[in-house]
Amino acid sequence: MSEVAVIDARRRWLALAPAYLVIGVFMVIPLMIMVAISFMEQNVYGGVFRVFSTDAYTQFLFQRDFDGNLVFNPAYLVILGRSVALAAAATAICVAVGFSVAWFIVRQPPRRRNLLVFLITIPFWTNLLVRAYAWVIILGRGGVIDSPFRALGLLGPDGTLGLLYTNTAILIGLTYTYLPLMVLPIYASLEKLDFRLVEAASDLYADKWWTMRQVVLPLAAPGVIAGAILVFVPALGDFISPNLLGGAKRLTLGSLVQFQFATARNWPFGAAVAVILLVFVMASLALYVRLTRKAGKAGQP
Amino acid sequence: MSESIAGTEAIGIRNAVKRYGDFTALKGVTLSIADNEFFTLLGPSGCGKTTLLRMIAGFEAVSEGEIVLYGERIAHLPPDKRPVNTVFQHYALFPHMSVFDNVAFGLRRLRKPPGEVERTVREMLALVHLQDFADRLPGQLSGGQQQRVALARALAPHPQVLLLDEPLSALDLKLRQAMRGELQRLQRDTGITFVFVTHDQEEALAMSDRIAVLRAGEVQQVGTPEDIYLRPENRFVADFIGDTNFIEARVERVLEGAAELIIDGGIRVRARLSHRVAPGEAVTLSLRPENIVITAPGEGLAEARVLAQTFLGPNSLVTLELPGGTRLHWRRSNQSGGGQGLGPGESVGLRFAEDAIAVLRS
Amino acid sequence: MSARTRRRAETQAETHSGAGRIAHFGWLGPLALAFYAFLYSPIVVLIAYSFNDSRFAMIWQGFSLKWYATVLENGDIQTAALNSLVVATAATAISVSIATVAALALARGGAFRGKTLSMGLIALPIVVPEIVTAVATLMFFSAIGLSLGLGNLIIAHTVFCIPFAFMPIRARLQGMDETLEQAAADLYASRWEAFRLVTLPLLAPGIFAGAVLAFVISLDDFIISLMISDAGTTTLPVYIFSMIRRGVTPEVNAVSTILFSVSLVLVSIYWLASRPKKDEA
Repeated sequence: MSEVAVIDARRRWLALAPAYLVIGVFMVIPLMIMVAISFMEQNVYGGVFRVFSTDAYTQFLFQRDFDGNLVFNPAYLVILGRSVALAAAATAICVAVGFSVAWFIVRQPPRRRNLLVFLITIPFWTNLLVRAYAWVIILGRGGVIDSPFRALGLLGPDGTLGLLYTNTAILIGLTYTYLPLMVLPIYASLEKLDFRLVEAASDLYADKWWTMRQVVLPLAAPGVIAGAILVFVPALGDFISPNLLGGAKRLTLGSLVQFQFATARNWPFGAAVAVILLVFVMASLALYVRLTRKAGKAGQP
Repeated sequence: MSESIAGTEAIGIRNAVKRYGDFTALKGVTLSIADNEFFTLLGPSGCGKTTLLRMIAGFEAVSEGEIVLYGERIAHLPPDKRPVNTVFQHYALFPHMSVFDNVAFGLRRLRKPPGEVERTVREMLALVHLQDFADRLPGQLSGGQQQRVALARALAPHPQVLLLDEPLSALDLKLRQAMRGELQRLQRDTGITFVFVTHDQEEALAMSDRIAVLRAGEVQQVGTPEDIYLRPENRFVADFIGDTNFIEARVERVLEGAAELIIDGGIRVRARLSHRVAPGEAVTLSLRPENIVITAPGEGLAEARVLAQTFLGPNSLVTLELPGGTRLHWRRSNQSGGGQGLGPGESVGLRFAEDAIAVLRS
Repeated sequence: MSARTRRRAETQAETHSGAGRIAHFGWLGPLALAFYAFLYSPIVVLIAYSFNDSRFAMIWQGFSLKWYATVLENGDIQTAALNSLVVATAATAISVSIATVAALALARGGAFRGKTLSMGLIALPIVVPEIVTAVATLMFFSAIGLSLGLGNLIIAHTVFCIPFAFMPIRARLQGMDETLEQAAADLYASRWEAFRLVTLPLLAPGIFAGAVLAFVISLDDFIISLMISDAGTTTLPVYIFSMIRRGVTPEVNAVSTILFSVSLVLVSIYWLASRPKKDEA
């Protein structure tokens, strides 16, 4: 599209002002306050003391023993590691499944294609909380999966397969929540793929695996990268799946932040964890920008 | 060139049928393409020519029938198992690979040693005059250059047959005409059988050893460009290739390979026969506009009146009317010194060149 | 287009997708089937169990509508649902207005310094993890002592609804032919007339799609609402969460089913509005 200015500069800024104002005041400033609070001291009765302190960040790595010395405490690093590992695993599963499903859909006749894409979006639009909660019923004690095993008398004295409140349950929840966000961008880039390139590869003696690896995958890379970021970023900070499916003991960054504000009332520490989460998100976004630049250079003219 | 196929058969298509649901794209096509031949599939869009080409390449499965490549049945083989390569209509170059890697793609898949890959790719790029473009990406090339990369890529594995799907259609007119000669040269130099698909009759006439004209999934006529143009067998072929006059006629007398016919309610003409007709039968004749010879009034086979004249540059198209009301187009050369134009209402005499009239199959 | 040519166009499109024999993997079909089963199983389970007679959410006892009756008698649920609707309606109205003028400025304002930054700023609420936005907003409201009841929720929802309202409007603007506005100007329409008579009617489907999207996003929001709502301003998802915390009851399934039905209607409307028309495609 041509970049012809239909609107002059003064009107342009006037039109952008409300968006700037609302997002600036109610998003950017809160984030700045959050960073500031992460460097303050906790008031155990709620709120903060306005004193500069790095206690919140120290607390992430160390704890004080009886003598008041700092001792390395891996507990929060474990939570960080769990969050990253779960988000990465969910992303990997989503890439594998999402790419396969997207390729399947793209190979269907146009009318069926639209229907299949539409079918993906429906559950995606329904309440996330409610859908995650449904997995409690499915995975939980005596739930949908347990029932047939119970009927066959295959369950032990505890009466459950013990699927709920595990890392696997969180992973299922994350995969379930974010899989559509992977399928759709991959589908979008596969749909744009010129199928004659696939025919050309096959015409030039490439078998199907080689064709996928050398032709389809490189050309769908922008979609895969976009999907990976759309899954990884929210999965890293997800609160619902860990909270509902992981149980109290399996905290992730998201549920840790929520816990600090809702229960522990340690604002500086909660803010510090939120800042750490935000740093990870921004780092993955920076990586995304670099990757897409590279993919853009190597890809289509 | 060949009147009939003399040499080895490169491709045999035996009663090939292609159905999509209840739509039949090919209705039992049988063709035999000779080794080292430049063979063209010609027809309007939707006639099934591309489907037929894609069936030879293996992109489409045959619903019925068989395809034979140098004596071997290949209809059941996937494209990567067939020693034929395709030049795609819009080239289908891999946009993320350099020109070199594009051309090397097939060779590497055939597990040729790196040295041979390198040598062959250079050779192919030289063949299409693109030696200096090996490291470019396809997006950095012009349309004509991309088209030559596509040729090099398809020729590099030295296929038994090269399939070309309207490869010139995306080029502008000048380049398209230049590429015609180039393609013929490549075909001669490589000795590979070319099967060429086009809807452009001029292209087909200019390049082919033989042409098959298709319409609605059926072969209408197979023959040399001369056969097709000068001796069209049916109305469709006569109409699709070049301009022609259709004349309703009645068979008067059947002779050896020819017939005497009556046109325009009384004019007696002689025409060549490619099929059997019976005396008294009503038939349609085809007469090319350039095959009408104008004489002074009273000196020709018949009299005609000039209705209109359209100037077309190298020639003019003159509309004539015979006494019985039949209208004919006459193509008149505008060569300098060719005399002055004819005015509407003027009377002329006319006759027809020898062998100029073809009796069409109904 | 006649039925016959359309049919042929379709078959050709089918051919284009490869006649099934190139780069075809037999296991893709079953995998796709499993994928859709996975996608829909929670919803099916929810709906099925919402008709469960048993007091225990997970044990099937027989068909009953009693949980729907319970929901309809529960005043708290109705209050929460009303809160959700008020917040979603207000946030949608405000965010769509803001997004529309911003989209016009960015799509019709030519190239200018700060354009990328503006796009980034508008996308910020999507980029920042919800939980971070939630606690940041909570601390902000607390720091400035803002306590407007539902007003706080409306402000927070407006912020994250802006990018969702913005996207379809901008997409629509990008697909629109600028020369139409120029033609209007050429035909002596003032800038405002050109906007009102040409741009706005053409933009309407985009604005509508943006509004539905913003509405559903607001209605579905849970984490941000959870952090900044208090006893008097509970929204429906927050209320459902508290029900789940208290113990899994079939009442949750009934509310969820109702919520799902509402979303389904809205997503269908959105889909119909945002789908490109045949003659435009």
